[in-house]
Amino acid sequence: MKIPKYYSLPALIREGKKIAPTVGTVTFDLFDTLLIRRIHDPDLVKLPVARFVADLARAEGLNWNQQQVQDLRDDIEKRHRRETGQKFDDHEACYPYYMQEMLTKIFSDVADEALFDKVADYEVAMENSMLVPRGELVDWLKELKGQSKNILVVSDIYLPARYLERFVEHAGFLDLVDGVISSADTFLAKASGKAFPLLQKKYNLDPARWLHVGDNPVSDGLRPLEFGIKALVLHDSSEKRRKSVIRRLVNYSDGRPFWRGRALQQLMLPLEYENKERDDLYVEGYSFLGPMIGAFVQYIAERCMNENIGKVFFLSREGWTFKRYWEESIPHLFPGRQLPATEYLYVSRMALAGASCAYQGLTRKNAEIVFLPSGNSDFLDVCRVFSLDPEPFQPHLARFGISATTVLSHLHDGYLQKNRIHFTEMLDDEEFQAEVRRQTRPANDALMLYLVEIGFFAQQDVALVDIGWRGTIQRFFHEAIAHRDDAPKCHGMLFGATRGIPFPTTPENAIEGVIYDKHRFDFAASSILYARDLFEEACRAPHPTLNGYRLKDDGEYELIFRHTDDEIGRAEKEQDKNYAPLQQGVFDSAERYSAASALLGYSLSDYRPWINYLLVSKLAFSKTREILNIRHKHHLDDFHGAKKVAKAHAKLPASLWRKSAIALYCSPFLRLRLFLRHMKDRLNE
Amino acid sequence: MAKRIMTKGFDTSSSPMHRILRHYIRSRFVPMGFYHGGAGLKCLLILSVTHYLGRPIFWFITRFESQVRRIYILRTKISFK
Repeated sequence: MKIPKYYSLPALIREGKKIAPTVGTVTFDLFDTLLIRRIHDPDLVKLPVARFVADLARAEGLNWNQQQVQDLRDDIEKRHRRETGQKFDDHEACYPYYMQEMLTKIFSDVADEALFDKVADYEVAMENSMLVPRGELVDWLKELKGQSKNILVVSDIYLPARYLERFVEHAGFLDLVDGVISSADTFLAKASGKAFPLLQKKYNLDPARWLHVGDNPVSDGLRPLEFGIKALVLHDSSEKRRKSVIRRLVNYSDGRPFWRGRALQQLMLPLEYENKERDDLYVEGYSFLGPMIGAFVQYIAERCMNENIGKVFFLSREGWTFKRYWEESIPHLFPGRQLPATEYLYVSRMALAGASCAYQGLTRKNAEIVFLPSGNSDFLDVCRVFSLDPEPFQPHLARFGISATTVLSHLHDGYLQKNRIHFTEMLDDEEFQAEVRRQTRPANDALMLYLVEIGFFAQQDVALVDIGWRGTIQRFFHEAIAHRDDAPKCHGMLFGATRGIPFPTTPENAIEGVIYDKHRFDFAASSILYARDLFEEACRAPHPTLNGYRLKDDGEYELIFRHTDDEIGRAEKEQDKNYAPLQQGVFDSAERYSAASALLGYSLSDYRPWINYLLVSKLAFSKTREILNIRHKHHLDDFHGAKKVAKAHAKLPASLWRKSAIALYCSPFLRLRLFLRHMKDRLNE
Repeated sequence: MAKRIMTKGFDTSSSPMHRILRHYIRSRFVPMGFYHGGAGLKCLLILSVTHYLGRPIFWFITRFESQVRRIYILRTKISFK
């Protein structure tokens, strides 16, 4: 019997449309026909479920791991199939029966219906995250429905029809079908052909006016033809090619960790009608920044769970993006684990700098930090950064022979070393420090009220998550809370740690760069230094920066935000608008990241080679068009003053991301030259 | 400018295979950093062929599946001997 095979979807639909007027009923196979899987092997979806069950078991104090759970499931399923085969022609298994048996074996008395539902819901959610409706077939389905055809979905699978209905509903075409039938409910499958008489009887169908569409030459071709049903078999070469790509990537990942991140990205790719035309920035957000941020938050979650860190505080403003990404990915990635609580913490260098002086005064180190950015030059800049009123300091300045405008930075004209020495001597003066403490105490009190309100001091260990780079926010923050006995242990986790100034690491307060850390030599990851502002701007929250904490007259606190109606505020809004598609791409990737990463079972250490490749390729050897598209237009830094630097120090180091379009297009070996210079700088560090 | 995240060859438009290949070649001459063994030339070439020349290859494979399978079995037998 010749089975009518079609090698592409349009060819099959064309033939189907010719046959459609002669039939009253069209039955469709579900998997690999109406729905396709992102992954090549459907059994891989079972692995995260095994991990979930193992996590639940460990939470109950039972010693099970993922592999043991998976082996048990396979054994029970095999036995069920064997037993079914003794009574029926098809060797089918039914999910609720064997899963309930497996859960009873693992959990004994705890394995109630609620636990089964929890596991089944997760399995359905994992399947749904991997299933995509075939756009053109769904369009045809709509057409058939418009012609009042009876449409049935029929599948040979271990999941009963009520679960398949959830897949169809998630795919968005449940309203188009008149029934969903699964072999798991009756053990009568398409493979033996027994499903077709069952359907005929149940729905009173006429085989002569019945068309069946599927992908299996036997179950969906030969068997319906034997029963007198017209059949169309899809043998889609394009689908075979897509699956071949993901299969190779997953297989290569075993031996070559480089491909693990690429396999993740392949699983995250939108398929069928999901793959719409998007803005360039959206694509970069989805494919470049998204997976990197995903690996970053996954690492934070894993570390917090391993080290019993009770709460994660995402520091404003970049933490806003990390927190949102966390919320959309981490609960799906670790469904069986107790995750730390999360909170968005309103902080900024400017707001914390003042509060950090309330008890310890203005330290030499903190004063030095002010003069790191080239735009700061005098005591007025110190006052601006630490929110001090310069007027009460006039007598102190006079005592040490300097004024508020005396140049104290060597990068500026008029700098004299003796003035800097006088300034340092003034920092050792107790009267000066008393004035500093007097002025900054209200800000610290307001900060304490804010932290108490959000339950910060109720924790023993907290994670402070920020984009980077020197860790000054955490430095000021810890100094502001260090006077309290109940100050928790602070685990700083930065996206990138450039450590421009040594961080005062103690057992109570430490930072770690996750994607890049200067203390962990990783040359490829250091490419992040090419475009730090890009990451800051891409992750920034859509609210103005915090200027300070104010203690109100009624004893309450108030967060003071920067006004947005000036030129800088407007520039920031324009930048936000420009990067809106980029951020959208990042957020849209979160859900896919969690599904793909849960399925692969990898974490940051596995993705690191690929992330390193992305950083080098996208930042150091980026295409001209990419730089022109992605680079930010405005970048606000209140910490950085507006003073003009002396001519000798004014020259900025050459940066690929600041080059003009002409230089990017025409300068020979520009990227290679800059990369070699970057390499020299890192080695000199 | 608009583009799709996935190309017609099932590759990512943002980091396509030819870019990885270029990076691989570059890394043969200039140290590029830490990649845990890197991509591997064989893997790169096979994936490049699947992405860029896969369409005619899979057109052929799906239409002449049984013949291709026979060749594959024969090849496996020869390699085992």
